[in-house]
Amino acid sequence: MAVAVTQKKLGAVAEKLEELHERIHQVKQMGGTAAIAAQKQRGKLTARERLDLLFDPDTFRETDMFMKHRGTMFGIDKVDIAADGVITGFGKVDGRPVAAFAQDFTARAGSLGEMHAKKICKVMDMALKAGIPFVGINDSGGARIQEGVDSLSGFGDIFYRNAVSSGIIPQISAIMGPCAGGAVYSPAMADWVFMVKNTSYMFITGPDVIRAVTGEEVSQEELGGAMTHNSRSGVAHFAAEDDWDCIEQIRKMLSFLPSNNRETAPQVDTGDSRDRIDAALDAIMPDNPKATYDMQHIIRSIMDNGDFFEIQAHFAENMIVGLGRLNGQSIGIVANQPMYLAGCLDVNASDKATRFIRFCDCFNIPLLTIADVPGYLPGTDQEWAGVIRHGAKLLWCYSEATVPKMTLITRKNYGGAYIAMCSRHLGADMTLAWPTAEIAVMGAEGAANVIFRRDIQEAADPDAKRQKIIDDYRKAFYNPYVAASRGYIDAVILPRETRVRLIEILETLSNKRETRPHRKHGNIPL
Amino acid sequence: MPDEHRKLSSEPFVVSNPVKPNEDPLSEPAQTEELRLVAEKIDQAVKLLTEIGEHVAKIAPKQKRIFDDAKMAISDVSLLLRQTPGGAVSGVHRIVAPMPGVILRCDKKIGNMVKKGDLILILDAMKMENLITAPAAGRVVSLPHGEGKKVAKGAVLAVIG
Repeated sequence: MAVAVTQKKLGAVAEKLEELHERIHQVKQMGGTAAIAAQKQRGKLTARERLDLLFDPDTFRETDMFMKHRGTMFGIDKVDIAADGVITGFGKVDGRPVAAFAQDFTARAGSLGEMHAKKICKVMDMALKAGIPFVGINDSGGARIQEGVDSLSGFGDIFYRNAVSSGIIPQISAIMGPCAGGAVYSPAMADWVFMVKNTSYMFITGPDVIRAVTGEEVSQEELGGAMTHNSRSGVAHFAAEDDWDCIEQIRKMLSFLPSNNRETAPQVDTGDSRDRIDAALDAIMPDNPKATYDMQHIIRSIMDNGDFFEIQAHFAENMIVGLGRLNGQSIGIVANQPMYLAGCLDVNASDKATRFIRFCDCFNIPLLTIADVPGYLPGTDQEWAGVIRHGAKLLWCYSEATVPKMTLITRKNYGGAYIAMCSRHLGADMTLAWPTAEIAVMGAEGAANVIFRRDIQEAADPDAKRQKIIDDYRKAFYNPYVAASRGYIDAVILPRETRVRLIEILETLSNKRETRPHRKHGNIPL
Repeated sequence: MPDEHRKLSSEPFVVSNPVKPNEDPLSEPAQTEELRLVAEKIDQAVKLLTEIGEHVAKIAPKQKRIFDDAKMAISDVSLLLRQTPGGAVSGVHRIVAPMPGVILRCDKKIGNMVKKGDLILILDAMKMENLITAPAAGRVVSLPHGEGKKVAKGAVLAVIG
């Protein structure tokens, strides 16, 4: 290095400054050029490049760059691991402070040892104290086996902090490489898990162990790839095309969130008109009450600039959840999707919505629920999968939530599902209905068979009698006015004016304060 | 042509009168001797399963479904064997009922070519007319249930091959 040549000419202080430069240079070599080339070969960015993308230009400040492991067993003492395999620090995202770590797969496969974990814990502690969001980028071969139980202790310390920080600061986890064994549980405890297609996977036991134990043949991608966890298991919430897309989505997610549970989300000037009317909504509902339509159109029509950031788009598609803005204010949307499983409630839809509702309630994001739900999905598989306890979560979390809660009923709203979709009974602050709303205990056919079974049986023409009863029932209940006459619905509105009516309600509720009796915590049925 | 496919569906396990190569992009490849033998064996197995199924239906009607499922699974294997490697059809897609319901209307017939997303049939379930669409491009090779038929969750509604 040129440093060695010029060293003699430098004074003592200048020499120390030069040494710092040299040490930083050394650490920034990460796992060396060959390891970095291998990382790129897989289509992945390095840990440092990922952090540079995540943070606003030149705002990331690294901490604990010089921390070193102190393992002594199995030759690890002779191995120098740059930054101990993880880059930690803080910076700004859209001008707001955020803390982060990124595991460096090029440095000994980003394996997690005692000091590696300590670095992560330090930055997590800082995020919690400072009340700023925390982003973890995972890309690691797992526990550093040479460090034994010290490595396990490191995992445990991280999990503890995930749990303690939950609901206080937003925690985001990105899986951008391997994440296996115990390592999966820190992401699992974060609020949102992002995965990258084809380069990331998560599992407790890998394909080799599964083959040895159960004889099943399964690939890494099939077992725990991005789409597996986004569509089958529900473990992950986002599937990005590549590293760039993943980081971009994380930045977008952060833009909707406050820094912590004592703040409200930033008010953004979206440029959309507060008084925008959408006449197309008047015609969106098909004349045939059994015909489907795409709930996404309604959501996008209401949101500022049609911008809707959907979460878990590939899992339990009968329930749509995601973030958007109404007149610049962040809002959480929960809506049934009639195009998928008729928009009914089931085990997965209940779980998906509950997690999202509780997230919004933690971080003071008002909720908009759009109901078009025929009921709970019948079947032995649902009952045996515990639809009772899973469905109960939805009732529980809506009742628990104290953020402003608005409900819009577009069409069907039946039975227990009517109650569950943020009815007034569960504490909705304002419930609106379109004139197409139908609110009843059950469908007309079913009701006729139950209430008038004998009348139908004894009639001279049972079919004609049944049809008459069905028609009468439809006339009586397939409308919003019975519920409105009881005050269960606050207003019946024209579809076209939905957006402006919701914004007015949001403005009215902006100072809503609701307190509950003190308790340690409730016992949500899990 | 449609009659041929109709035959294919009622006995989807036998490759009788294969379409001439190049006549149709999705035509069956020339059969090797080995494939022909496998197809024959599958044919026998299906006949046997049908027979057993009929007997079982008399004694334990609920268990008959096991034999129907087995026949369906074997027919899938048979279809896969007949496909051109790397051809336009990449696999057999079985569309199953996402929930219990009644088949309101069939939009496609056996033998029809479909594109991904094309409407195949309408399933009346959960107070809704649910549109059942093709998960991939291909040819409708089986529609086991007719209009007005009640189907359980998981029942095969159509096979695209």
